[in-house]
Order: sequence, then C-alpha cells, then structure tokens
Amino acid sequence: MSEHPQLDKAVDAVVDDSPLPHITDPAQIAAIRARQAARSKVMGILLAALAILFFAITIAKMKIYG
Amino acid sequence: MNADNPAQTAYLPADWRDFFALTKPRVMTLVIFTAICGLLAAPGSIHPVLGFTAILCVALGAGGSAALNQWHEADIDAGMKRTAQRPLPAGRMERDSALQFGLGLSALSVFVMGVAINWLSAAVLAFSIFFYAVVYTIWLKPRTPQNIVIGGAAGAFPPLIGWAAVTNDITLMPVLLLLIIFVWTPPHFWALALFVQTDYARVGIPMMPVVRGEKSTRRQIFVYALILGAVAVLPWPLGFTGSVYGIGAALLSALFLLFSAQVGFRTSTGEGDAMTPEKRLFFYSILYLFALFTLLVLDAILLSRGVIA
Repeated sequence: MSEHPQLDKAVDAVVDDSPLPHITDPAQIAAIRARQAARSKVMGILLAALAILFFAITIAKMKIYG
Repeated sequence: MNADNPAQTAYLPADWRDFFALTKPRVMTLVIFTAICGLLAAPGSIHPVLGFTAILCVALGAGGSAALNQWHEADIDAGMKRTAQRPLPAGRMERDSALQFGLGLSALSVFVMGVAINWLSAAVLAFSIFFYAVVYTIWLKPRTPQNIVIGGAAGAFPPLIGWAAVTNDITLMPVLLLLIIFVWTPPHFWALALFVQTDYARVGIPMMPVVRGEKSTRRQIFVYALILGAVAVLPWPLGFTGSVYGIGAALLSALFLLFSAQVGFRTSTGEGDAMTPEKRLFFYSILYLFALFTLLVLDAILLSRGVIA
C-alpha cells in the first residue's frame, strides 16, 4: 500500500469493477476481459508494426534523397 | 462466440477478427495483386520499403472502403443468405464501430500514401475510396441496374495507383489497365448475380437480372466480354507490352469469350438449374484477371532484360 490509500482505493475500484455496471455474472465479465485483452494485444502489435514501418520509410527516404 | 443469438453476446465488445472480416480480405487479395502488378509493370523502380508501403496503403484503403460499405449495407446484408453472417447483420458489432473503423482506416491509408510515396497516388487512392463508399455503395447500387458498370471503376483503380506510386505520373498504359478491370467487372458480377439473383431480389437491389431480366443480362455479359477482349489485347498493338502479354491476353480473352457465349446464348433456366455455365464464367473471370496481370508483369520483366522485343 502506498502513501495515498484513497488514490489506491480509487484505482482499485476502476480496475476491479465490473466492465459494465449491470453485468455481474463472473463468466460474462471474464469473457469481456478476455475480448478486451485480445483487442489490446492486436492493437499493440499493429501500432508497433506501424512505428517500425515509419522508421523504415524514414531510412529509405534518407537513402533516396541523401 | 454465438452468432445465432445476438442478445447473448450483446454485452461483448467486438472481436478483432470481426474488424478484420469487415475489410473483406478475400476481395482484397485481387486488389492487392493488381496493385502489385501495376507497381511492377511501371517503368522505373521504387525502393522495396516504399513499394511495400504503397501496396499496404492500397490494402488499407480497400479495407476501409469495404468497412464503410458494410456499415451502410448492414440492413441489406441481413436479408441475404450470403452476407447474413457478416459482423454487423449478425449483431457481433455496433454500426458506429464499423463507421469509425472504416473512416480511420481510409484516412490513415491516404495520409501514409501521401507522406511516404507521393500525393498523386494518395489523391487517386482517396478518390477510389470515395467512389466505392459514396458513389457506388450509397448512390448507385440502390438506384440503378447499371450500378456494377459504373461502380466497377472503384475496383479498377489499384493498378493505376501502383503505377503512379512508381512514376508519380498517369499515362495511357495505366489507364488501359484501369479500363481492363472496369470492363471485366460487369460480366464477372452479373455471372454471380445470375446464380444468386433470388437473394438480390429479396432485398430490393436493382441488379441487372432482377430489373432487365435474365435474357438482357446474358446478352450484355457477351457484349462486355467482346469489349474486354479488345481492351485486354490493346496494350500490345499500341507498343506498351511485348508478344508474351499480347498472345497470352488474346488466348485468355478467347476462352473468356467462349464461356461468356455459353452464358450469353443460353435460353432456358428453369427451377433446379445448377447454373453451371454461369458459375464456370464467374470462377474463370477471377482466374482470367490473375493470369492477365501475371502475364503483364512477366512481359515487363522480359522486355526490361531484352529477352523479347
């Protein structure tokens, strides 16, 4: 526990709370979390690939235009 | 996932695979292929990274416009057996998500194309996305049986974009490549529409077989096949390609014409008809375009190495 228990409590509330307030079924919450995790992973991979592509484009342009 | 019961999965955010499905990946393969061919057949060279980026942008643009198409046609798709299981009509995704995804992908593709390649190819890409999503999907498709004829132009842009990515210029040859796909589209889609016409009729889309009838559609398929043959061979006598492409295009087009004639001059198609000639023409038309553009690239390589004159 840090020096800011109230802040920790607020963070825990956001992190641990149900993704949708009206959904209380643990199976549904687990399914939502799994779906969100898969989407986040794919988005992360795509953004990393885009960053690598922009880097490669920059290097290619430097070679072409000196 | 249970697509049969949308209510059961309504609480779930859309799966990333459904976003991928929105981009119509199978249609995209032909778009990517023709763009690569346009890029490889163009005079000059392009850095491999930039070439890859150009093709990626074409793919992203095609995916974005496909998503916008499905966003607009969700209700129509729900009424057709072939499309009822797409993410939107099956209830696996909200319409707003598809709209935002389509707009985002389209904007990203045009921006990256402009910054990384050149603004001419970016402008053509932007126009082709607008043409497919607005002119074809929203305006023409629900209004006229000529929807496929004019809308087919949207799918004809990829080789021109690939060409412009290399040369930063638009000449007669890439316009001919555009024309080939433009003229190829009606017989390709009308062959499909002939054997899925009950679906189109049910959702009120004025496809040619529904509005003008089978006989007229069959005649027009044959007429377009004749024009296609002439346009496909044209680059050879004009001196843009060598004999490998010219002779290959003539042979491929002759077979296309033969299959089109079998469809064009058929008279009786009663209940329980297997529609074999129509299906044969549809699948051959896909093979035709792949083979024609492969010959184009092969011919360009052989010409550049001095193997043929």
